[in-house]
Amino acid sequence: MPAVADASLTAQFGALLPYLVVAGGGVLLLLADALSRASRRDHLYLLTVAVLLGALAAQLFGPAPERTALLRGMLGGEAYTQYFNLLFLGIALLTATFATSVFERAARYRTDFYPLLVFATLGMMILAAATDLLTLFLGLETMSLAVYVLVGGQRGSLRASEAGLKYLLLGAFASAFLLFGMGLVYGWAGGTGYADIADGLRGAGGNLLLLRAGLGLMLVAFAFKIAIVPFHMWTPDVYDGAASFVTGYMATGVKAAAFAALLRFCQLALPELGGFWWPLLAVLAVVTMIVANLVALAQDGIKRMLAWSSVAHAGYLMLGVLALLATGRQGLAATVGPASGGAVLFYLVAYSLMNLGAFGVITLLGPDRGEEADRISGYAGLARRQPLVAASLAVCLLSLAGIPPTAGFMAKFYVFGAVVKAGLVPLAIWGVVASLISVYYYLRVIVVMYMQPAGESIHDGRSWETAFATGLLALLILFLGVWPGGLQRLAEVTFRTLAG
Amino acid sequence: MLGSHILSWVVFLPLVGAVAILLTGRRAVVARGLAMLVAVADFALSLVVLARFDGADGGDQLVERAAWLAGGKISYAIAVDGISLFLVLLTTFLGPLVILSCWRAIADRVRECMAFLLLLQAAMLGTFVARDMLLFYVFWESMLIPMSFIIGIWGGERRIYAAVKFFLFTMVGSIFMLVAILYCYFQAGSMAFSDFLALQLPRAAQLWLFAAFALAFAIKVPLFPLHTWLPDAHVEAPTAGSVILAGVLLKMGTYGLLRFAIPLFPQALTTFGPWLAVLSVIGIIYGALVALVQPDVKKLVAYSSVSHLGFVVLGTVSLTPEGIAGGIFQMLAHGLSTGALFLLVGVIYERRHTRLIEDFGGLAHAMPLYASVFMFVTLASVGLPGLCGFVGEFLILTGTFRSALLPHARLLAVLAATGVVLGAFYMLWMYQRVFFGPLRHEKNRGLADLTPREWAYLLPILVGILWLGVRPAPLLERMQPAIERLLGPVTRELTVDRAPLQQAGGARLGTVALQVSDPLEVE
Amino acid sequence: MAGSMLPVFMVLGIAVVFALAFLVLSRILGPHRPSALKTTTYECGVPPRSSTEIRFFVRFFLIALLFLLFDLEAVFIYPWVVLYDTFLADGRAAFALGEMAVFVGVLVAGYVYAWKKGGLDWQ
Repeated sequence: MPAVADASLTAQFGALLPYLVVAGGGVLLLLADALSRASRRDHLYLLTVAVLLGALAAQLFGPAPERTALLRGMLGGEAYTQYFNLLFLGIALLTATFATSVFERAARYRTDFYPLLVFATLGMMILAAATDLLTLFLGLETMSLAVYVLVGGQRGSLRASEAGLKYLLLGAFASAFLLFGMGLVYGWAGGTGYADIADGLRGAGGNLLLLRAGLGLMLVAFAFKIAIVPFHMWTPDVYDGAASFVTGYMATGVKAAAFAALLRFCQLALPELGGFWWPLLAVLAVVTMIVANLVALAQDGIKRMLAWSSVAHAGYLMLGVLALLATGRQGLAATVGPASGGAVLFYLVAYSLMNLGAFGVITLLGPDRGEEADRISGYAGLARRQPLVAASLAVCLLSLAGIPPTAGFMAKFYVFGAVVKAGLVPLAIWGVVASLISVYYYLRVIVVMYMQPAGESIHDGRSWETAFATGLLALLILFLGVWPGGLQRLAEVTFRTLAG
Repeated sequence: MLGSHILSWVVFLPLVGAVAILLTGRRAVVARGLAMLVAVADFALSLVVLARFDGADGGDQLVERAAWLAGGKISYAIAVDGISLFLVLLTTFLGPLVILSCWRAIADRVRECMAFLLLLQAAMLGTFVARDMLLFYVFWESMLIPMSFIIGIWGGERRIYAAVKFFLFTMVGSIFMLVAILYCYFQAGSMAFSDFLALQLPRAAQLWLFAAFALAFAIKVPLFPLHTWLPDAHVEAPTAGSVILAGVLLKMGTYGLLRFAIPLFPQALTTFGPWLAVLSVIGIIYGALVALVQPDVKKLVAYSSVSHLGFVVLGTVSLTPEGIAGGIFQMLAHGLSTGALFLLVGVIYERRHTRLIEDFGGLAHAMPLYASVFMFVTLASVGLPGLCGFVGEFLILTGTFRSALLPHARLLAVLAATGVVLGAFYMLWMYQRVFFGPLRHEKNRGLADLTPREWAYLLPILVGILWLGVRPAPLLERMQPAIERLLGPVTRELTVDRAPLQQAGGARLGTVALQVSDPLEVE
Repeated sequence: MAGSMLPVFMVLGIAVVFALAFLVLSRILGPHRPSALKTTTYECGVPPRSSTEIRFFVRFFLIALLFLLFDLEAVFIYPWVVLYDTFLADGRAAFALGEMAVFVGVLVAGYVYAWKKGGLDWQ
């Protein structure tokens, strides 16, 4: 039997084009990086932007997304995929912009950054689109391998090396869990495609032990990537050690990709995940929110603080996933399911905007400041020195805290709303208590920026690209805080394409 | 141009002004001037609202509604009724005065200050007119940010502590309210206030939901054990911040209680109403006693707010037309008189940079006009008949006395009345120590009396105080339909001791007030 | 399913039990009288003369890694060779050839990268 049918491949070419552009662009960047002289590598930024914009265009103006699977059921070609691909490409574009402003001043950060960024983005796109255990693993590893290097990629920085190694070792561990879990699931279902698993579940009867064990192990791997307590231990060190723009990329892109894959997987294996693993997941989500927010209170470094905050946000996001999973148990799937899924999708975009904005500002101020760059006290008096940048950061932080009228509030509103709608009021109350705790540490940074005089003279970095980008993000956050309806509808409709 | 969107203009004009100031107000003069212009224009617009308001109608007027989210289940819905209208007017009235008051006092980062003041005004106005629960919540929370910035940036020595405390306290309350709103949203299927009203919830649910709402409002009021943020915030805030805080922001709590908590969850009142009443009476007496021993004038005024707002809550939970009308009236009166007191404290602070009572004495010799104005406001605050403070307190006490909801209503009324006495005591005692006697401090000898600018922002308030005191009837008449409309369903649904809660039908509020406005006619 | 796996688990269990039993038994039953001679390496190489923690030249690893990479990638060419006949029969040989060209192209790009970055230098 022929391996691939020609006609279908040609028909799928349009849908596959974004992946091809990113993959080809990555190879091109690799070569350009190797072949160009060190002094002329600024062109790489432009090339990266061109590649990412090309992929964005291919995704936006390509053929309308359909339900049909791509590459014989290896990738999903629905609007869901498109939604996330646009998000990942946007995140990568902003990250490249932040990075280039740093490279102008501190070359030690630059170690094959752009090709790795593009490859990691490719991995995310595959991960979010995967409809087969094999592509799931492929996407996860493509993304993770590139990110391991990105984390450790500051020449001469011990902290970065430590962070990179830590992330690599623990990440490899998580991958092993994922593989083992996938093996068990494959053994149970007799196929690696999500469709095979779904078929198996429809005819389910008899012994579910193997499936449950496999799903549990896979959940461990997901929990590691999205940093849920108790699989979060790497987060503070890695986020702290990596360059700020890489941290921003990890906090947004990697997390969003893992959630995208998790949601797709949940939607598929709903009854089992919703039934057997639900109580444990619920406990973990609550513990995550509370623990992470409490620890974040005690942080003096802004990156460590944001690292713990990202763990906490993974907890809020899990609430949305839990609401979705609960629908499987209670037969609410028709109404609550899309609402919860859509809420998570909305949350991921809002969360990406505000975290990118925050890390953008940290990146912008960072490189000239030396070792103490990331202490919160170093932000004293920023509102006086650079009012616009401080205002952008303040908007991002308020949004992270979930205070209206910002995107963060609306995101929490939708997620908590879905949770309440699913009849899980206690979970919503836990979430609310957790976000209450979080207000204090976000507010602290704002207080330092606006209300404390600058102590010693601090040399802030300045870069118009980053300032412009963060300002734009802040405006977007405010816009989404007042008119979230469009994105929310898009998110829900998008999720429905998956649900079918 | 204004057309049917007059209310939106009132709410969003300050917001537009704030953005304009941020963009153009690099020079302090421009920022101040622009802010003043916007605030005055906003007041003028709110007068148009008053003119268009039909006082005989108790329902929502000047309604604006547009689908916002969730396919119209969440909407942009704003309106005024007899309860909201006067609070809106109070807000826009104080707006320009506040800006005028910090004309000199705030010299640093003027642009930001003016922008925050206008943002705050927009958020407060929005809170008063919102008729959609999510919209209300958004405005409600939006007030937090500018207010804590105003305290935290331009405040006194412990300003950061005060700002953070203010933020966190308020946040604690409101975030549980969000969960309650969400719960009702899915029960009602819409965020519209009217749909919330139509909900028929079981008593147990009402108890929880009322508790969540009441916590948010009780913190804002602030009700007795939750009041500790208030003295800090007031003392550390700049004069402008204190005036807004006392004048308008505190009313958010009592307004919310009246507008949302009570009509939405009436059955919870039989459980919580007496407790709220007891706490407010404790607050009245406690606030007065603590005010008595304050060495700092501003702190004294701050604690007097705790006492005065206790009256408002007491009147509100008495669930009598008099009590509620008195509560609303007291909100306005307190807004004017305490706002004026804070402005006056600011006047002397600008000259002497101290607020301690012991640093003054005999000021009446140095600043006779200032002393007279202060006396006038002090008398208004203690409730001298003929000035604004009296009408509200009288109505509240009457309402409490006749309340069928509260057990031992008469005892509560009597206890609350001691608060009036204590109020006269601490205010007049403070006045005596500051203004009478010999000039003990040399520094006080050469103090300049009120400047024209100070007159400009004090005089309107003085006129307001007098006018509210002498002619409360027009206001009360406009409130009455709205209050009856609000109270009717609540009292119908409530039963106390298995008997339906019947309120003795009183005279028209207007007549009551007309009687009390002339002290000689009161027996 | 569990039933058919039963023998495997039994064997696993027996193996574990036996292994542990012998370890424990030899510990309990065997006499334990160490001497200097007994603790030296016995017929397993020469006694170390210096610290064993010496530094390897990092290039060894690099070369080994590169070798592994390209070697493994080359393995993918074999199934393509086997399937090429069927492609020929279908008349889609050009397509198959193109696919392999892309694959080799990526490999070459990686090779050029490693080369230019100094991965093949031995200094």
